[in-house]
Amino acid sequence: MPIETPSYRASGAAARCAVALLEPRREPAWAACLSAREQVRLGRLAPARQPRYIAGRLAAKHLFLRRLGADGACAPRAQPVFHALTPDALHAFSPWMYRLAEILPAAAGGGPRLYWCGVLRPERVSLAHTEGLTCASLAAGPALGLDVEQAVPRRDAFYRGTFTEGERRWVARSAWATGVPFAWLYTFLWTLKEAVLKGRLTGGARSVWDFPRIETRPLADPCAMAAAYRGVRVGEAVHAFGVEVCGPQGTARVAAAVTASHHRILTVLHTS
Amino acid sequence: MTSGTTIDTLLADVRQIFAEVTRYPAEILDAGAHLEEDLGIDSVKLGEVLSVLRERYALPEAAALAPEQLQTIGGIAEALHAYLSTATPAPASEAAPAPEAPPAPTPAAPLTSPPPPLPAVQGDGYAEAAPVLPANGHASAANGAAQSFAALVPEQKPFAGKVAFVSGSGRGLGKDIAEYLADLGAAVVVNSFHSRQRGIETAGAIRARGGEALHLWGSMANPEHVDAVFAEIEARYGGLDFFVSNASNGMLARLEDLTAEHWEKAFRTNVVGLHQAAVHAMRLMRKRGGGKIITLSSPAAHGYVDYFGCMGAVKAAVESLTRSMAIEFAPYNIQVNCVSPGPVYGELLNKWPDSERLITQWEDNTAYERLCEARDVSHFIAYLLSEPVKLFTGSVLVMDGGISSQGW
Repeated sequence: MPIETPSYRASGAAARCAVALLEPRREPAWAACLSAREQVRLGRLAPARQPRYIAGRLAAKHLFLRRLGADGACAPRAQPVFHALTPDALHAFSPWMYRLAEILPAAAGGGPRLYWCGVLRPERVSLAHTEGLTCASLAAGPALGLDVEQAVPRRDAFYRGTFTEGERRWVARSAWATGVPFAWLYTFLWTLKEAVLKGRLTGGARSVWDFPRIETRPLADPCAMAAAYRGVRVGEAVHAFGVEVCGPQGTARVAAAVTASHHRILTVLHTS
Repeated sequence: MTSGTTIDTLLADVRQIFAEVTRYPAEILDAGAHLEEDLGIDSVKLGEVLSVLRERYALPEAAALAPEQLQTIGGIAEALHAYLSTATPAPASEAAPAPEAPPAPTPAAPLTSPPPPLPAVQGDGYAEAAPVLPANGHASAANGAAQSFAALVPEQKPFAGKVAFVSGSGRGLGKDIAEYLADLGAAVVVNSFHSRQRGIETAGAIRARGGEALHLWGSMANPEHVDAVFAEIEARYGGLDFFVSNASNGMLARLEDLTAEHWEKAFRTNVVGLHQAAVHAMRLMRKRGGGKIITLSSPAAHGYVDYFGCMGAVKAAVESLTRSMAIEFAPYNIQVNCVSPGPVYGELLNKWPDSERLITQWEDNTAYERLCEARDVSHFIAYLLSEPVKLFTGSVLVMDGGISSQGW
């Protein structure tokens, strides 16, 4: 699936799930797009954390503002639409419009929530960051979670202590069948778990501590994994398949959209 | 670990694990700092830490830690303390599980990344010295080894009366070698070219410690410089006992990014320069009745390592030249050996393209989860240079913590 052009004027379908990718920057004009309440939270963060905080909120707000301006009569899409945002694309909306949309933490913990003109919106927001890239997703209705990670090897204790026996077998089989590095495959499974957690797609995971109790089962042809691994850059090609998520409270089936490269993986899970 | 573990002990242990996994200095890991917002420790890194803690304390899957307790190091330590204080001790076999086999080795195909900027490599490209305090979690073991060796030998000054020339010794590994040989009593000729000031400082530091050192500026890639350097050594000392060829220059890059000029520069310093300097050294050593020459290579000369395509080929040539010199110089009682360390912690290693990923990957692929410290290499070179060691010659001696055996 080719990525859409990052222009809000393309009033295509109001996708039920949309994902925006944005490179964080130290850009004063971006910070001016935060609401007063967001500014307060920004001020509490370490300086190194601030660019990604700003970028995540801008990306989510941009998706929401696009949604407001989209033709609601269009049929919703089943799969998330990905938008690689540029600084120019952000200028599609005025700073005051961005400030009217707020991304704030839920009062009772959990993921961020979207407010428009001070009123809580039903759309679900999920944010993820990795080195040099911030991602935000917005979903109207379905539960949604996303994660983006650098695919780097990690210590063996991490693999033993985070993934179930079934997941380790899946990695071994997939690596053998496709030649995709173990570290990449484990990172992919991590993104699934993190997306499950962020999207609250199962009640079994409250934090990363609970990950060994959650088993993710990608229902994907190994070739799809290999194709994702061979991606040139995140956002250029999206691979969709189902995922079973098994936890203490049962098994759920969700949809996954994955866009990746050799060293970076972005995964979106949703209950379309 | 038992229910008697104090919160202070746990806090120190948790902080140490965070330091090892994140490679942050322990002193910035404040117990109350928010892991993500203040320290920038993301969830996957936290997952690594928690996995290590699970194994360290044999925590079962069912052990419950509240999410809000996972936001600070102090919170994690408190959660662990609360759990361990109330948990029934597990049977011995569960409390101390046999280490499981790693899930699977990383396959040969490396993760790749977009073309990075091309950093120039000076000093030995792969084996650059560590700073005084390495930013990894294994400093104590390495320093312990250093102390045990250094505590015994320097007082005896086994190299008193010897003259050592260490090329490329203004910084990094070469600097450590020069300083160590000086500690052992040798008069050391420090050489630098690109990092001239640091070479001067190295020689000054040796003299400040009571050692004898001379700095000679010059490029080993330039025959005129090589001539001048050795002429000066001869004028000062009349001969030479040890030559450690550490000067290096080259490019760490993907093959498609390498130019003919990169090859020329790397080959000229590492191979042509080595030959030119070694012949000079051999002539000065003959005047002393013999000597020892050490060249530096890398185990990456014998397999694929990211960004090492040029340097690997050049180092393979160094090894070949070492063998030839060993045979041709043997009649003059000159032993020539090549030390081939794996990646060495230090400023150059940190400048490698994609270094964060590669260092972690390499550490994981050693048998001891650490790379070489500069002093590991210096020790071994000192051993080879020592008087009783006579039968090593033409050898390529790998010191890599097992990374070549396990696979990069």
